[in-house]
Amino acid sequence: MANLSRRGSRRQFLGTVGRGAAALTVPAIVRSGAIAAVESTAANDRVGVGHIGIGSMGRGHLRRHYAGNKTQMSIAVCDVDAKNRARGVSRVGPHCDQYADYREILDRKDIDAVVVAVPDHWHALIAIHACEAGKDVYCEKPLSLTVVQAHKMVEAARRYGRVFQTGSQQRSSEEFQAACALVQQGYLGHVHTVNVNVSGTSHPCHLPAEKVPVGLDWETWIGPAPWKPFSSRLHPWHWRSFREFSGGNMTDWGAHHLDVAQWGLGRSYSGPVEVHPPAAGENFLRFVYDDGVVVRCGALGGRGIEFIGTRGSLKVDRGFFEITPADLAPGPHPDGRGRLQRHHENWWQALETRGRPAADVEIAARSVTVCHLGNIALWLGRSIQWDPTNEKIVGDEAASRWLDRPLRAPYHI
Amino acid sequence: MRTSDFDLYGRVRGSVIAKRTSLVDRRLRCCAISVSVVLVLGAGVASGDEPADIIAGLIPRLADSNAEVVRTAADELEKLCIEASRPGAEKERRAVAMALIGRLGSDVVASVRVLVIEQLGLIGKYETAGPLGKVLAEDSDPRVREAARRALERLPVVTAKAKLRAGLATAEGELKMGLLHSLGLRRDALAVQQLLEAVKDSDEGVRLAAIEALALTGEINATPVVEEVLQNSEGIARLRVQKAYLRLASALVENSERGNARRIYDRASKLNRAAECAALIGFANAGLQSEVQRIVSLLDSDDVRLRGAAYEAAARMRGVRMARALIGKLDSAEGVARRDVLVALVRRADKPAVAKLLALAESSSTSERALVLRLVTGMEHGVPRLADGNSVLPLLFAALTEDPQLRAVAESALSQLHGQAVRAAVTAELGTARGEKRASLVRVFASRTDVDPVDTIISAVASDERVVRIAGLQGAARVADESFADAIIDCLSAAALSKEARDAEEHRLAEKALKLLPVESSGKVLAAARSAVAPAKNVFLRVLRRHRPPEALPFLKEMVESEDADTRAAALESLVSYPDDDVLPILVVFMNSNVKQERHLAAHGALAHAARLAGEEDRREQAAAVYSLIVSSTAVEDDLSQALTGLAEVGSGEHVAQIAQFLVVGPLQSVAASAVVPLAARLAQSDRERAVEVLTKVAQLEYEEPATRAVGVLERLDVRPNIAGNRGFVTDWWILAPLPVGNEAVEEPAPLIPAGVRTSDSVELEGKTFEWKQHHTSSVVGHLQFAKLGYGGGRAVAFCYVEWNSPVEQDAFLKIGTDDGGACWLNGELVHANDTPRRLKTDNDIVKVRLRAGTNMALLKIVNVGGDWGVCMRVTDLDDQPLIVTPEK
Repeated sequence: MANLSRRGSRRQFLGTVGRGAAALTVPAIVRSGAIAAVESTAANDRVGVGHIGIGSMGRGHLRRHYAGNKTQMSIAVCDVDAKNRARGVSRVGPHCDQYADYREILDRKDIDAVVVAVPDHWHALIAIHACEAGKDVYCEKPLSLTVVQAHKMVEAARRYGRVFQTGSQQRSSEEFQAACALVQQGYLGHVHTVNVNVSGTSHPCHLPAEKVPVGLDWETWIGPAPWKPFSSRLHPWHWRSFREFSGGNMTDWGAHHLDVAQWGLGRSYSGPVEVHPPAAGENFLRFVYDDGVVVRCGALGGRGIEFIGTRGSLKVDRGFFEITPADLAPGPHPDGRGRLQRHHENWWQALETRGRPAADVEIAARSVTVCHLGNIALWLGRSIQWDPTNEKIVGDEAASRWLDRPLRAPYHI
Repeated sequence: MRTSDFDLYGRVRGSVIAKRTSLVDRRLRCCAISVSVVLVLGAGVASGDEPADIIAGLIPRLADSNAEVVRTAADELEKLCIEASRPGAEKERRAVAMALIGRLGSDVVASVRVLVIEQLGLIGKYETAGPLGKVLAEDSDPRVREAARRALERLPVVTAKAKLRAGLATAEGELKMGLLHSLGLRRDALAVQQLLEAVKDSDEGVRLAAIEALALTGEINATPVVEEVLQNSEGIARLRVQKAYLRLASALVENSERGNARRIYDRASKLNRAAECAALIGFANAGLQSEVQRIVSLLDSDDVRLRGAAYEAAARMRGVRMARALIGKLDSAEGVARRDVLVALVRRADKPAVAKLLALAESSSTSERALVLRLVTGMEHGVPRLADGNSVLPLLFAALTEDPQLRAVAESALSQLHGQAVRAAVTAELGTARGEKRASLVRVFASRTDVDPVDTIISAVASDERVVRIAGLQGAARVADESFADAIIDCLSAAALSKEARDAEEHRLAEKALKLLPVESSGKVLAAARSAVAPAKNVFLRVLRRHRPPEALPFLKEMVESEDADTRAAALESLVSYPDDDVLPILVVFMNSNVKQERHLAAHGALAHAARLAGEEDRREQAAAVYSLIVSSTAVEDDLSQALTGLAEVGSGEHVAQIAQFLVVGPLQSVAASAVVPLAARLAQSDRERAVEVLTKVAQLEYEEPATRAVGVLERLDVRPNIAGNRGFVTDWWILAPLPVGNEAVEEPAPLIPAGVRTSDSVELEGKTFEWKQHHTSSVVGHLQFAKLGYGGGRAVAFCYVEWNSPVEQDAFLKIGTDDGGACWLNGELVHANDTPRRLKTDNDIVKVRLRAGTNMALLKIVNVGGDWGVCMRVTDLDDQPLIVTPEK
């Protein structure tokens, strides 16, 4: 893994100051802003946060939630693209260190937590290694590239006692919270059908080779995935279209909307028992639960999620909430904070209480498993029987092999 | 991701697998699959070909230099393999696997061998391990060998492990690391000796991989080896060895070597905080009772992470010692710590813990009882419901008779707890309950999805007890069953006749419940409205609004002339909802009523009629007259707002004066400003002076959108208020757009304008000529939207240029707005860059700069990643006073 030269870290600087009381000669590599940041008691009381992955989502996290934050302090950024690293540093400030190798962030003792916003095929490795290094984790959704990786992420978070929030921020959003509460409280009667408007899977990557841009460490970008030549259709955008790196829209948006379906049905820690690919004339998958509830997932012509019960129905999406009949139940009461802001705040709170955050890794693992099962049913073109208790495919050994993928050497979990 | 993919995929799949999804007729399914094997194969492959022939046909296409040809061939190969791998098709699978194995020779190009091996990894079995082992050992291409390693890792046959072990003999570097990891993942006990040898390898990566693999095998002899490496490693390598050390302990526990595991956890806990946290949880997972005290002592740690790990361990540790320790801790724990102990007890869910929790739920403070009830019934996020949840039921029923906080928790829990036992208990309890408890159980019945609550609700609606009636009506409003109509109508009518007390709450709930009923209930409601006396009559009159039955119209017209003011209002409330022309004159009459409520009701109802008229081309004048009447007759803000907006659409110059009276400071000022602009534009044709007066007033208001539109109209009338200019905004720009997006960062020097100034009328880029064009914005906040200028809205770059004169050298702020990111050069020097995708907002970024005396030149680069895009900029001094930017053209 390539390692670009690293500026002096806060820890190194503290060591320098600590050893020499008359530390008049500050190392030239430390900017003046870093001194202020380090000497400030308030700054040192904050949770040190490292940001791994400074693409569009990673920058969004940096911009919106960590600049000027009173309890968390971003002190390092990491990306395999030098351009992104520079953007991250310019966004955070002069006290921020930059790395090309995320393991260097994990090795820092002044970093307590990491925000992981890299392409999907890297999620499991980085998040598990972060847990093993004693860091709490905020990991972008979809949680994993495979079902088995999701299991391993839960296991790591539990084994190492880490607080692990997944970036399914709809869990912290008033409209979805209100919707799921109403469904669970029986306002719709017996819910028999849920329509989830998510469609589109990923496909094998066979792209022609292009020249690797200057500043991009392509070998590390590929990382644990099967090797592919650089293509501008992979980085910085569109990698989600390809199976080697993502499950496509099914996992990208399914990690939000199928998660809400599971949540509303009270199945956050469970899953369906059957998954059926689209039947003739249909364009949606069917997930069947043990009580007969059917979740239909595809291009259904609506928006978000629709719960249909014996007493009424409820449609919910971002900024959208519609219950039928209209006066069946009260709607949400937004407090004006954005859902992503609330989601980060929920994580920060959990860092202090050590409780489970709103989109705890176990919940996210269950949700992303539903997405992966949907993809497997699509890719194989056949129905799958799923045992949600033991989390295994039943009666189809070949389909079971799609639950995981061996990583490219030398990467491993 | 293209959202259409799924559709397309669904259609293609759907046509192929139509019958396969049927779980009923397996035979039919098999036939369909056989057909689909043929259908999924592409052109050039004859139906009925043997797998070897089909694959032979695909090989040249898989090696094609055209990526698209490779993609389609790979797709077909995958589909062939998927079909062959279905359950019950062993013969077919083996035939395909053998055909694939036949393509592993060096006569097939390496990239194709990789694709073939990937498929073998998914469908291969015993016949595949040997050939893949050969590839692993002998293939000349490292990527092919690596693919073979990955395929063997997932092959579910024992011989695959043997081949992986054999591969170690010749492998080096990353392949060797991969093989070690594969053997570790498969927990191959037979590989231990080789792993121990690999720990001595000269390559550090191999050594670490061997350590990690050893740890996964749970080999007891690995302990001193790992400890020695741990002692001698540092940095990232130490992290890996530490992880391996802890994994070894975990694997030892699985191998029933708890003593050895304890020793490792004990040593690991002294390494650092992360390892100590993991060790605590490891102790608990291993069930090491000797460590209970250590865990308990850390429940009070000042270190939040250590404390969190201790609680996790306390929840996981089996045995009564830990349960007792936690229960003992309750004697002193308060606040958050007490809650943490309670959560740990719930998560343990062992006998002592459950007994203690039930005791607390029965006899502690109200707030703690409520908390415990929420915890044990799974109503707290992240805390599982007690497995023996039914033991809580008596406590929940008892809580229904207590204070509102406990009652609410119990109602909520009883509504959401699943299971036959809970349902049976709730049903039995309802049989004997009275008063508040019965009311609660009625609500629980209405909420549960596994009972039929209709009879319960009907009997509750007719109850003698008010609290039960209220609960019945609440239930009726939730369940909305047609059979409730008679019950509610009878109950309310009888009470009204007998002058029995029914308060506003009951009437409100009854009205809500009746309004939720289907249209078939309208006849009953109308009959009830005819026969009932007030106040029940008024409830029924208002309910008629819900479905607007035509047969009720004459009766409502009759009732709006009632002597009783409440009945008149109730009838009017329903009458206004009828979209009939002959209702409108009645509303007009009521809009002049002396009774304020009637006036407002009529005005509100008339809004819908006006909107209906406005939709008919030849009745817009009538609509304007109604809107005008509404404006003069109501004081309800929402209605006034709608009427003003309606007037803007259908009104004329003559309505300007009526709207202009709302331009004073007040809640309707913004709406009036928006409404008056189009009408003033029409007025300008007959009374230019009055129009300019009103438009100028709007232009000076703080509402950006109407003010901008007012400026636009004024400019068309040759009046230049220069509102934006006076606020320091740039209103006239030179624009060069839309240019293609390159690979450079937003702040990288503009290759087209290296000096940061505009020196020519056009530039050449990629063989195309782009001209600088001058654009003016009427926006009062200087916003210039590029899409409106015809520059599209996709990924593109724009340069914006302005020159202005500063009388003196001075410090100033450039307040810049860009959609999306942008950079700014002042007098040729980069002063600002921001690559954030965002909307255009005034003062997105504020940059302190030094203006020079004389001409100053600002060049902005806007990089759009999608959607709308635009720019704005204003210049102020350091006290935020505007510096007038008069462009030098």
